[in-house]
Amino acid sequence: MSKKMIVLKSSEGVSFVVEEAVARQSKIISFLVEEFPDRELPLTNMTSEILRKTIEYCKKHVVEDDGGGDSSSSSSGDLKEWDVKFVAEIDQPRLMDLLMAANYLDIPSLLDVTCQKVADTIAACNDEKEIRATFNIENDFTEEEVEAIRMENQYPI
Amino acid sequence: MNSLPMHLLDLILFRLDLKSLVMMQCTNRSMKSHISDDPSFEIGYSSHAGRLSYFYTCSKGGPFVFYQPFGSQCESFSNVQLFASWGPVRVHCYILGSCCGHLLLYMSGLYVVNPLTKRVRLLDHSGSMLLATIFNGPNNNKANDNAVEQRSMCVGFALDHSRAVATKGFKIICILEIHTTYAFEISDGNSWRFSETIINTSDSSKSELTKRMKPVYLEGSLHWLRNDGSIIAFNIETEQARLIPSVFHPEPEMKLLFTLDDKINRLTLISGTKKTISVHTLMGDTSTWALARQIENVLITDSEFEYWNVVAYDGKHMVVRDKKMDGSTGVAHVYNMEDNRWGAWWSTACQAKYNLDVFRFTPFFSFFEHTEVLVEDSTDGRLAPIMRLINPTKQIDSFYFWR
Repeated sequence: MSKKMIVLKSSEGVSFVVEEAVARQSKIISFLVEEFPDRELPLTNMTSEILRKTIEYCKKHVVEDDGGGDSSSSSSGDLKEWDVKFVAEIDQPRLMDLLMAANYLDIPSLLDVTCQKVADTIAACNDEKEIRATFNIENDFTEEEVEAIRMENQYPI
Repeated sequence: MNSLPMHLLDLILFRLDLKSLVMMQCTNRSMKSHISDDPSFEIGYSSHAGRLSYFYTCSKGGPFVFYQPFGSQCESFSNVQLFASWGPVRVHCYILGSCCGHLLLYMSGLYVVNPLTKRVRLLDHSGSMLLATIFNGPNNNKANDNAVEQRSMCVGFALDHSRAVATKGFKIICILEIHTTYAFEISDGNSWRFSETIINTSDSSKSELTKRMKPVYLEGSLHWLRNDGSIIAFNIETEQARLIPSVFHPEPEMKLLFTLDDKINRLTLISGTKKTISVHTLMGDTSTWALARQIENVLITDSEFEYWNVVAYDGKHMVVRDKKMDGSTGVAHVYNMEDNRWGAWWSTACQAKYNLDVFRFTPFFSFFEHTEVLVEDSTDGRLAPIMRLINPTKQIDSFYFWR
């Protein structure tokens, strides 16, 4: 039996043909496929680049139904390793876009790995200046105010 | 990062440790006010997975207070931090409650402390009738120890939501049981008074409050369990009380724990036998205990064990404490409810013949009004060792326990 394919369209109008099982990891797409079978699904707030990344993630994480026994295509240890590599290769602004996409498409596991990657990036920063630079946050504090917050929170952590 | 919707920002911030959270507060104004001024952020941060840690002490009170921080995801068994009050006068310490990064302690005086920020407030409890009946004798009085153990469950400690956000207030609620009537003594830290609400349960059921079972805080109310499975609920803000007529009849040898499932925000009753441990959740609409999960109790086999009970639960993890015949101290085992397996464990470092009062505790830098930074050589200086318990950079006393 040939696998059912569906078509996802990015904000630039680029079409991506994806196996339905792959795309169904998104709860939103799963819902849309049932409501609008045999139609192209326009994802107007996702660029081709982000959509491609999202599909790459879903392809890796799809659970094959046709095989018996251990149906997952990879072992969970391998998958975790793959996830770490996957998010490590993405630059900061695109990681945020991917996080938003995971939220929008409702793919919990992708949301989890992207949030964790952002949290790890913050934790790896040495001070607030590094965080601002990394995440492009505009500073509206004076040096004195920052010092005051630091003083207020001076405990052995 | 500023363009992220709030709930996504929280998903990231909840994963940070306190040091990184302080750095985030320093980045800009909106981040600072979100983290430090919004009480819902703190609640979310505290209940986020992998940040489960406990304070515990013997229910009888004792010269020991233990802090069990969890490694991330509760996989690593981390050090138990131990405070011991040796010396000519051994001061007994009782933990009465835990909320918002603060503990309510009794140690020859009633204290609200934040062990992270080292802020403390000594409360005047001379105006309290109920606390006087709990802590009225000298500490070395055996009969008094029992009274404390039996009655300290009447004390509840919770955030007072009705106050302004900038300075957080708390309320201490003590329940008084006279046959089938319940009255409540309330304090905001300044004065003590009885609530206008008195509830009489004689029409519906005759039962007593379950001894040694701490009240559980959920959605603005403190809940006390009674022996028949019913619950007395007291709303902190409105100060109204009601009886929830749920029914549960425990078997004689059953171990019970009344607690909260953080994941689904429901009151939970855990009943354990040597064969199985059952998790019941309270269905709000029908006021019934519904069986949610049943776990095979593989830990407790026949007569090998001198003692065991379920000491803590949060929806994701369950902590069971046991003591083998040949072991000197008890061991706490963690069951991971999501992976369905027994995982980490630690030595409770406490003689098993004593009951433990275990309190969920999340270090956080908020503070209650009128608390002040502890001066170590002051009369409150005996609190200093407890304050030092949360200090990963310098471990006072820690040990691993290998079986």
